[in-house]
Amino acid sequence: MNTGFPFHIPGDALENYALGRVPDADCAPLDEHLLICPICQAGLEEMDEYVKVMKAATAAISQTTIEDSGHIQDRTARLLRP
Amino acid sequence: MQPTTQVQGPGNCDQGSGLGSKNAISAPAADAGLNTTGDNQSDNSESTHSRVDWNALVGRIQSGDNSGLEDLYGLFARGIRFYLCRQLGPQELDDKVHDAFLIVVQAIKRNELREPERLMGFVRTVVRRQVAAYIDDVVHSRREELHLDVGVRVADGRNNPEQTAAFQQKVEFMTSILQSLSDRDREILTRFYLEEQTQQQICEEMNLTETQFRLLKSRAKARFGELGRRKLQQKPFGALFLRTSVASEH
Repeated sequence: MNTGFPFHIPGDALENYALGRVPDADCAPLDEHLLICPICQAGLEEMDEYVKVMKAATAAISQTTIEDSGHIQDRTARLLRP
Repeated sequence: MQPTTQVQGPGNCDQGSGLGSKNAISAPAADAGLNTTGDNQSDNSESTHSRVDWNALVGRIQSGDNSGLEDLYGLFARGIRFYLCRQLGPQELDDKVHDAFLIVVQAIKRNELREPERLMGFVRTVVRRQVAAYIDDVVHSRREELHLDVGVRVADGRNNPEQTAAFQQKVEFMTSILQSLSDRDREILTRFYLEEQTQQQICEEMNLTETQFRLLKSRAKARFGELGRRKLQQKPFGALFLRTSVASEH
């Protein structure tokens, strides 16, 4: 009897899987479990979406921060102009 | 067969009426002891593959028992479809799922599966090879075939306008959550999700314990879920955020 991954995949492992950070050598039990477990498939689907949202949101914030710092530099430069 | 329970795959993977969409979870999978109730991560019940008698299943297929094929299909159709769609997108998905089944069934019938209890591993190998072969083909044809047929139909992998709007709204939720965090907490999440730094690296460089790191991530998730739920109660548009999945339907 195969008991490689007898329980549902924990959240952290699912997140690493969604982020593509599980080493190839450790992927087999996760892949196999995901092949037959609709609960974990749904969980991964949600995690994929969450990761995408998080990436987009952190990118947006970083962009805003860069633009803000650009504006501050411009304004500082203007103020310092003789 | 029981009524079907359709689950959205990533992107538009649930489209079509081929193999995968016929009966996403069929009776055999349910009979095999599949737990389709409860929360995703909190449900720690034993899952399907430790309950399935792989030897008996393989034996039934080898002896020409059609119920064996049905059970095999019921167990793997959805997962194969999910895996292939996640890796390759929805294009020609039904054909790919069908091909994978054909390879698995033929191998079983030819008695090429030496360890029936490793059937899941075998299916995984078949599907991974299929993904690799498909990618090879695409790379090869891009390199070799210069005269592209203008009339070739290519599936549009982009989301539809509703999905795009829903995604944009989620990003706005998350942005507002991130803005409410301290600079340090925001930096941690940015390093992890955007800059793809490892947990270990972040903890070392920002002098964090593993527990603090996990707590921050789970708080962000919880706040995202909470804010999403609150917004859902306010807007009819929010119905788009409801996941149609097995877990939520039971």
